[in-house]
Amino acid sequence: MLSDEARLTERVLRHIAEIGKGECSITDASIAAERDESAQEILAGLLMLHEDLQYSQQRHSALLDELRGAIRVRDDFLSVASHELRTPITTLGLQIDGLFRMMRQQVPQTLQETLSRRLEITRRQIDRLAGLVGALIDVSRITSGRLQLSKQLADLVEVIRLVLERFGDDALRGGSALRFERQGPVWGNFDISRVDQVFTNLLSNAIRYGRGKPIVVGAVGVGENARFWVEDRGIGIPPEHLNRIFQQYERAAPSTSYAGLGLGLWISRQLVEAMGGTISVRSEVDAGSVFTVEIPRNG
Amino acid sequence: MTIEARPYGSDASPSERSELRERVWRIDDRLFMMVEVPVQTPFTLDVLFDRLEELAAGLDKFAYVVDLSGVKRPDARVRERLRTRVARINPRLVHAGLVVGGNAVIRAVAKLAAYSLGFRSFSFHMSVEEAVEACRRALR
Repeated sequence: MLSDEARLTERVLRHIAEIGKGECSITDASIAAERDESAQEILAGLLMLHEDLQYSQQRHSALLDELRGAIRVRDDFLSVASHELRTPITTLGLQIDGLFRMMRQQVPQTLQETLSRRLEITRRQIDRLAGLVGALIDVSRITSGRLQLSKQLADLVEVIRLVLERFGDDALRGGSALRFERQGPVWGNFDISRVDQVFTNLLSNAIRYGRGKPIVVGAVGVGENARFWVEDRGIGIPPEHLNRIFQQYERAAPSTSYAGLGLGLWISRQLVEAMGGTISVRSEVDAGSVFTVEIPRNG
Repeated sequence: MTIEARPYGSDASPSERSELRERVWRIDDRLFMMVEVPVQTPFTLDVLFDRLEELAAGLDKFAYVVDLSGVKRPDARVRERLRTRVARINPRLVHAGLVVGGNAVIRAVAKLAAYSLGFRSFSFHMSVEEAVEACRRALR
């Protein structure tokens, strides 16, 4: 035969197990039916513990819904705003192109150099603005699940070569020499514009954070996959930031020293994952970083 | 008019609000009395604690007796508000004398609140007189 104390202990343990599962069979009536006051106190305490846990879960869940709602509103705003911004930016770009043509035909040679320089600066700023708006449009496509890939047979080496060609001036301005390591063509079914976008992002980061030191890029076929990488010898990334640099609006470098929305690597990761691939980084502070992307050749 | 055993909310009439406020009064310079309502709600807690804070304004330390003997078991929402309100006065609170009568459930509620708030000093009593005496001793 169990003593009263032992029976109470058994009951308490059973109720604790119930509470652990989110249930509780104690009621105000069952508490009132107890003869022993200490038992009443213990059971009332357990019941309230259960209620407090349930209440806290409900509140967390309501807060989570609220946060999700706020994120949805933000994403909707970004989507509308970025699409609205794209049209005037495109028009501005076309106007600048028109001005370039007019300048060459109608402006005296003596003025052309100054005008050309100013138009070039304007063009670069418009391109930068277009890039930022493009990033916001990508965010809205990715978060709403509207991202679509358009694959075609292509040589990854050629895709990268074209980006490097486009980047020549920027790299020179940043003081970095670019070296391309490749062995031969890497054929596969790729979404060329998205691969271009990911590589462009990695390379522009390398130029921005590379302290003007040489940058090495490479492409190689690894069995079923294609691999490309960008290696700089710049400021590097502290270990505590490595986990968050691929997250939305996160940046390892201070925003006061380096411009940007903190979206580039997040977009890159989303694009690479949509292609069925992976993106990774190795880095050491003051020694530099290596970003490596691996995507299926026939994904 | 007397406060009834029902939940009062922000739709309470001015006379009901006034009656709720009158459930808190000064016993000595630094000792106050609070008679809790039968059905506590976040609203009634706010009215009572606002009054207590009003009376205790300017005091660096004080004690209070709270009569919980006629109170029904508060729900989780009320207990959370209670914790918040008590936490606000806790740094200045020398002692809380909790009158729970013979109600074991309310004693459990009061104990849980007291433990979770880290009351510096509290005691449970069968009567208001005992609680007042305990508070006076703590204030000496």
